[in-house]
Amino acid sequence: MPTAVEFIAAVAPAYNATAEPISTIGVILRFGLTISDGRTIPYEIEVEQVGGRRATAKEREPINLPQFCPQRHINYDGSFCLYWREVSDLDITDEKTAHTWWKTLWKFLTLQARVKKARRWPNENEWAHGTAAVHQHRAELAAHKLGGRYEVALRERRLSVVRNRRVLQLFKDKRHLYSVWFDSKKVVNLKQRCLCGTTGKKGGKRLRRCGSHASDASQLVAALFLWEVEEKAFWDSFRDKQCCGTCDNCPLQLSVVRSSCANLALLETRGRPNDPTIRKNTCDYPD
Amino acid sequence: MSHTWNHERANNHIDKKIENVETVTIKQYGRDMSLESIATNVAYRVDGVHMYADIQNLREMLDVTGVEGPECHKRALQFLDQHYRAVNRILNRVDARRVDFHNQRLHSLFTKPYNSETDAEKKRVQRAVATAQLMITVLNETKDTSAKIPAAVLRVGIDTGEVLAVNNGRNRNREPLFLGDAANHAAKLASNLSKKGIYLTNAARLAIGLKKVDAPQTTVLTRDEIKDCEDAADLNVTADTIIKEWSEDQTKTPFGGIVFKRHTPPFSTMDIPALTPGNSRRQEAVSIYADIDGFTAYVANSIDQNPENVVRVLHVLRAELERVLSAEFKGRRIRFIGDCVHGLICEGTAATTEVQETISEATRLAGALRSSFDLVIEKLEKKKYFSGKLGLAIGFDYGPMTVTRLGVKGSRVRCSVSRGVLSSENEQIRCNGTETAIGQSAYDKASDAVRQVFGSKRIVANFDYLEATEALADSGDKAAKSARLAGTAAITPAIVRAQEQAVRPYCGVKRA
Repeated sequence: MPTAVEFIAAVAPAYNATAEPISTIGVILRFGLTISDGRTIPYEIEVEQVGGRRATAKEREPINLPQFCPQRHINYDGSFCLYWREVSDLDITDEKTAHTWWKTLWKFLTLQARVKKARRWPNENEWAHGTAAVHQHRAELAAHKLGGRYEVALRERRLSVVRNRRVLQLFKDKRHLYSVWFDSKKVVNLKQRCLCGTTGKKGGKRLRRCGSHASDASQLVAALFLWEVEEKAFWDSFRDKQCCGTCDNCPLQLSVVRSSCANLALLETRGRPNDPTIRKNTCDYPD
Repeated sequence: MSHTWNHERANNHIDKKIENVETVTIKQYGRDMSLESIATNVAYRVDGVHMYADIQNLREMLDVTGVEGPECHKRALQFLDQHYRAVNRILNRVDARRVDFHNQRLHSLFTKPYNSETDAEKKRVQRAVATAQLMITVLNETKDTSAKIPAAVLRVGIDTGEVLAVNNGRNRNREPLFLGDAANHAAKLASNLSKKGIYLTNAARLAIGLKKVDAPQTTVLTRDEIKDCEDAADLNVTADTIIKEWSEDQTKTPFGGIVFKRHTPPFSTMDIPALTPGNSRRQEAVSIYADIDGFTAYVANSIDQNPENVVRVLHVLRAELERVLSAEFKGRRIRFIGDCVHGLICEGTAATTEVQETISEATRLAGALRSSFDLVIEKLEKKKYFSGKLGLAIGFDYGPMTVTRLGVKGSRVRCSVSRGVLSSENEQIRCNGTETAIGQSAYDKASDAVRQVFGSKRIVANFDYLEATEALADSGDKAAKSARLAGTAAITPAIVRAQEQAVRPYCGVKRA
């Protein structure tokens, strides 16, 4: 049976690409990425098989893309982070799955072409970095259960959590939605009308009596808080790494600013949601 | 039908336009030289006084009715027509040059007396002030109570100095454009919408012997100061004479009334020089303003040392922006206003405007304008014709739009006025050189895809054609999807499917 890279090489002509084997587990793909403004961007992508059915891809020389940029989902070793294995699968077992791998690569590179001008990842359809993705996933599940409004607000990155003494407060933009006790993780006011807006015979249902919504509301806040904590831990691990300078508001750039003005009151957290310069509270929150 | 912007086409056109201005000649403007048809690669240094007059109550005219219907547009256009006619008559009598009427804004130039006379500059400023006062007096009388046309409230800004006159417009709408501080400062004084009256820059104040002030924009000329200028200028014409002539003119050639018709899209086929009040256009469309951010400062820095490059930059940028609007997106340029282009775009049929499609295409047009702008700057920098920083601020809005020509037969000026036009200009004003903003009306009527792009603040940065087309297509916009297909070279079925692929990337490897 052909290997994963052999399947990838076999379907390359469908993308006007050529494939040059460089080892039993490696191949170089050469193609012109055609984009909707009529331009063709020449690429040389080095593909390497990992395990039996997986493949990693990276630009052979960093010509079109930076060598490393978490904002652009390019790992420290230059490989592309095309998907998150915990929730999706890009294993290559036949030509159909090889096409799926190719389509993902193609779209990923098209998104990279957009980053060049936009100076940010062009959409919100991305996973958080490192372990933060786990909490993002949990937050998404909780928001989904709470209903469309929360799901949309989360997708649009309009929800934020701020710790205020013993409570965690959830904000949508600058509007406070509800609070959760920091220690017990319970919603502060369980008698309030449920966040989903469901009504019963006596009007709006209470949060504590509306299915799993009290727990979902608590989980959403906890997950958002830990998402922030883990995201920071991820960026901290690259604290001394040079920013490639292709994205605005990159935490690698901000870390330089932060370290130079660490003592300034600028970085006080309380009461200021949605501020990228905010340093959130310490990460001792129980999981 | 979806439109595409293509990198190669833009590249070729820009190269051609740069070629046209490889050699630029700067000449000194002399006695009675014509500024009507300046060659593309020629500019004149003109020493004169610039006067901008803003009719402050146009917005009020447009807001008289709750719904922006044909009646409110007719009244606003008749209001402008009456005042254009009166102003035209005044400028002819005082031997000043009408540069442009841009809706509520009039720009005129005083080059006489020439510098060969003693105290020529002083006399020019005095003449401009006296003319401004004459306009205020006349426009206060040229109202029509029976037709509910109020008097115009004027704010006038005046500056003096040397500017560069270059060719403005295209084909049948050629007129000079004046680049330099004098024109810009006068425009800024006039468009500061606070109080009516006549305002002079410090340069103009010093020229007529007044003291320099800290805030010229809030220092209105006093009745005595105006009187001194009127006496010195001795215009040889009075307000009563102008009003009498204007009234006779109204009787002889009365305003026949505005008749609106729809134009079958695309707007690029609209023959504006054939329009008259009785043959005007009105329909729902998008008005778009694209303004070169930082151009005033660039001109101020370069006009003495390297005026040739100023001409090159302006010519190439405007030619390319117009090509994108008219040739690529089949929109219609209404006019260039200095370093700004105003256009309209409409998708639909003779009977109806496809609202969401029009707004989607306007969104992608805004992206295309930015792509072309970036490419022009890149190429001019390579040629060493430009160095520095310029941006493009773009604003657009949707609503019922009008297009017509107003004023005296033989010298009619094109006019497109509506709430949407004013709002699109305001949207452009709130942008910096990297931003694109959509008006509230367009945002409310736009598809989810467009709304997602602009977000609740209705503004987006670094939004070029690729980003616009891909973002809209990814969100399901049909026109953008078809443009993406049409615009991609050497496309295969597998690539078509790849374009539709949803990707959710990750980055999980912490540093070892």
